[in-house]
Amino acid sequence: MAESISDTATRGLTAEQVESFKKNGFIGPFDLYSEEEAPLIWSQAMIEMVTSANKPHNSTIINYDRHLDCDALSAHIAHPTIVNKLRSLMGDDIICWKTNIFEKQPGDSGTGFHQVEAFVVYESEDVSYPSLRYTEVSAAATQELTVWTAFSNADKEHACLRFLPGSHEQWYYDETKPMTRNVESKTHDFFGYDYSELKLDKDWDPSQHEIVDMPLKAGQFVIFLAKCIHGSHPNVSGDKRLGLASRYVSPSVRVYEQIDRLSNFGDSISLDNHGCVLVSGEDRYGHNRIYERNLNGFPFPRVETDGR
Amino acid sequence: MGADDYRHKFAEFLATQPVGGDLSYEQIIRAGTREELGISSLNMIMVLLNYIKKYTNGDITVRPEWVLRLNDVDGIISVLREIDTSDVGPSGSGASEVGGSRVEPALS
Repeated sequence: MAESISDTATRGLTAEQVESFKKNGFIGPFDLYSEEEAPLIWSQAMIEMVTSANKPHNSTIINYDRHLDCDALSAHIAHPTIVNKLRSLMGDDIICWKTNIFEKQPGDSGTGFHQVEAFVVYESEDVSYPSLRYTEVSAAATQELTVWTAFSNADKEHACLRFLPGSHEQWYYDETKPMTRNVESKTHDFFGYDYSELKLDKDWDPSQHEIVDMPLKAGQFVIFLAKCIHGSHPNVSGDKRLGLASRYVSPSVRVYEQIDRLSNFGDSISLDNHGCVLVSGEDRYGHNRIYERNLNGFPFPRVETDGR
Repeated sequence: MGADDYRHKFAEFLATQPVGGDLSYEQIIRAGTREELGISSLNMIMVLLNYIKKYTNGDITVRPEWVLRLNDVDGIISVLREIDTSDVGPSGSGASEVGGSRVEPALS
């Protein structure tokens, strides 16, 4: 199912790969950078994180959206090898709305299984808003995709991702409910939260479901639906595991419609500088602020309709 | 300048930095890794930038391959040596011959 696939930058997914994605909710791994190139690209991004004159926010704890000010990541999120595969699933019109850096230090626990679609944000225990509001039904396979790229080796010992194939077909969790945060608790294995608190059926056990590991070499990526239940193994290696999740939606989706701040990991950031990036096609809706250049002036690449 | 001299130079410079202010000279001299110094990877890049500002004419930019060597003190010192030997001054050709190896001061 998850065999290694080499492809050219201009090719999308095969019909068989699209069918596999529809059935399982994920597809990969795919080659993007060589194992030697990937850490150098990340190093360049780190240099730019330090030297950036215009950052999207001032938090050193919340690591969102550094594609908005680091040229190396601005180029990465719009890489033709990624975007052409997304087009096979989403259609030509695609915006990138968010990136997250996912580091796991040696000895870090695995990330608990979770399932989202609207990326609900809690303003208080009783008040929550979706990060994404879907405004229309699409004929494409999906309107939302995540690309998780490994910038270090991410095999089973190095905390690789895990998926429950087919789990995107129904809801197992209620992402609109609040969770308790306790960074000391071992059951709070979803960045300090216990995602199992959101289970619709408290007796349902994800470990009894079929689980597919997705080992990635540095420079490879996997595409998945956030609604496809996923998590990760612990990092039992002596090396840091490093991944970047870039998240994409159709321009018809309204992003952060009712949200102007994000709080996480004990910190908070303003979304004043947030914007989306059109990586392919056109924005026929005008729902979201679209950046043509990153905050330091680097022009975002855009994949042309011929795939280049 | 030998490796020990560079370690001393690094210790003296780090002690002047905001992230090294709480470290004693002995702690820095004895440390084997960046983690033992309690300095994050991004802060170590900042230290490197400040080193370049202080000891070169500013033509040198941090190279991605240097970042991969900043996790241990020996690697950090090897980068400092490379920075020092690649500083050619404002009227330089952009590269210098040092110790038999050619060093390009600029990066992408």
